[in-house]
Amino acid sequence: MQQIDWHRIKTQFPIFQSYPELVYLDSAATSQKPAVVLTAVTDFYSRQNSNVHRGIYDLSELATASYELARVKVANYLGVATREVIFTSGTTASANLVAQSWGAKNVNVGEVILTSLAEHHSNFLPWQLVAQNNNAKLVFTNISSDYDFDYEDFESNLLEFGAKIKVVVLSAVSNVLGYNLDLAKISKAVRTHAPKAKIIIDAAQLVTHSKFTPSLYDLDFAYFSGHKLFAETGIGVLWGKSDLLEQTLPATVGGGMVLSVNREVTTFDEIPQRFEAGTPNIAGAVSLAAAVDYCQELGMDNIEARLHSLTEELVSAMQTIPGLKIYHPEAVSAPVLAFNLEGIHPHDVAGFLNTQHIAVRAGHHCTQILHREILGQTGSVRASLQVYNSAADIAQLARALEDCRNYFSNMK
Amino acid sequence: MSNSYLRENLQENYRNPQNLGRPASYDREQFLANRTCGDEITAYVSSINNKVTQISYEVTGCALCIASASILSQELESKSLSEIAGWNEKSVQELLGTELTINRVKCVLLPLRAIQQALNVIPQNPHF
Repeated sequence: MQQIDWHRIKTQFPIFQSYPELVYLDSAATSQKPAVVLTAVTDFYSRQNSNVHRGIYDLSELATASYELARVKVANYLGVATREVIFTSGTTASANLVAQSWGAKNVNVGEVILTSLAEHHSNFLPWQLVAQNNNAKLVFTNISSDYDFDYEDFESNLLEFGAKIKVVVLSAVSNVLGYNLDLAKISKAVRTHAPKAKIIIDAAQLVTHSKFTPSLYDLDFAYFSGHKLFAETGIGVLWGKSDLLEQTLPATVGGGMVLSVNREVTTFDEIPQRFEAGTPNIAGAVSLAAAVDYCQELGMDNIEARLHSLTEELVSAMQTIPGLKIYHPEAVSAPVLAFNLEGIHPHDVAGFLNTQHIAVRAGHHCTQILHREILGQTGSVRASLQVYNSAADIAQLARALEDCRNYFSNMK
Repeated sequence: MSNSYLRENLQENYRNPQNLGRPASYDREQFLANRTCGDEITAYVSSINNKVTQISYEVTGCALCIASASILSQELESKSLSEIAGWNEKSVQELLGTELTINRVKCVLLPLRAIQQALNVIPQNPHF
């Protein structure tokens, strides 16, 4: 593992020149962008901008080549075939695409969609809709008392519903609890006990700190957003097994994904174009390619190790603050930590931290069910880490939280 | 310690919220919640001849919400219903004397809307 000057890495992110005092601890909501990604976008618009797949002129060839090169880069990064990479506008769009294009047609009355109580609304609601429309059953795997995915409960759900399970849809990393699913274990259990089930994984919070190779786990679909991984907003990836994608008709239709269009009937293009109706977010794809390059240059191993050690420091620091309740499992996992300060509303904690230039997220983080049924809270505060964070940031957060406690207790 | 998070008037009203609690008797009540953050309030109001005679409330929420409820309940008491109907985001900001970001406006608006809906001077709307 090479020695990296992480303070120099921070200087690669222009936002910190704009706001030198900023302690940004909300990368789980969106990441800051390195200059190379911004340059790639500007270069595209300055020197290559044109629509893709549609023109015969040189400029259009350049744009198309850049867009398709981005696809190749993402495919290589994931270790999958290029035609299995579909560009979408993000995780939410990808989840809806799978649910509407594949799920709507393949989940039948009485069949089971197996998920968890910790799902982000974007990974859950598309399937709630399918369950409602198709009269299918939603089954929720529990979260254990130490805030981990309850593997035992998952196994017992698999045994109980077996061949009725058509979909297993889970987040690889909880955006609140930070648990990191053992995908190999999950996949093995599903293939053993639920032979009809497709495994669909929301990797939005996984790719931000870890290399992700879907083929290692025999998954069926997986997706993530570019903007959490140093790219622009409005671009994401849906990966799916090619034979599955080939059998699936698109739910979103329009220009750029057809072979022939007649009055009554249309034939659709091959994958992946079939699922990319309309003009795509070309610059977004270019930004994602640049982001992937950035990660590979830095080394995903290095990023993972750095974030792992920072997360350990963060957890330790949080544990020294009296009255602070952490919602995460024993084993240090993803660089995401949700907590509450006793007697202080999460909004007030975040508002106070803001006066100290510290950016954290407060609320239910798009997991109302998790907060209501497992945490018993209307909201929590969440801090999350990326490569531009440091031990100094963590120390500053800890100090500010102590100050916050004192501020509010002095008031009473 | 000195920190700008809550101005003095807000601190005072958060520390000692006025008119807090469900009264023994009242004309109408209205429950309202901000689902995005979990702030909840029930406003209890009474009025005679187009004038408010009493406003109290029960509230769970952030400091801004609680302070706002306290300040509003004092300010709006003995005002006319028609006057209260005209109160909005701007009125509340002026009253509290604090600059509010888009994300916090809802915190201070919640008590106002609950009081207005309880008094029936604005339409019922759970998504205020």
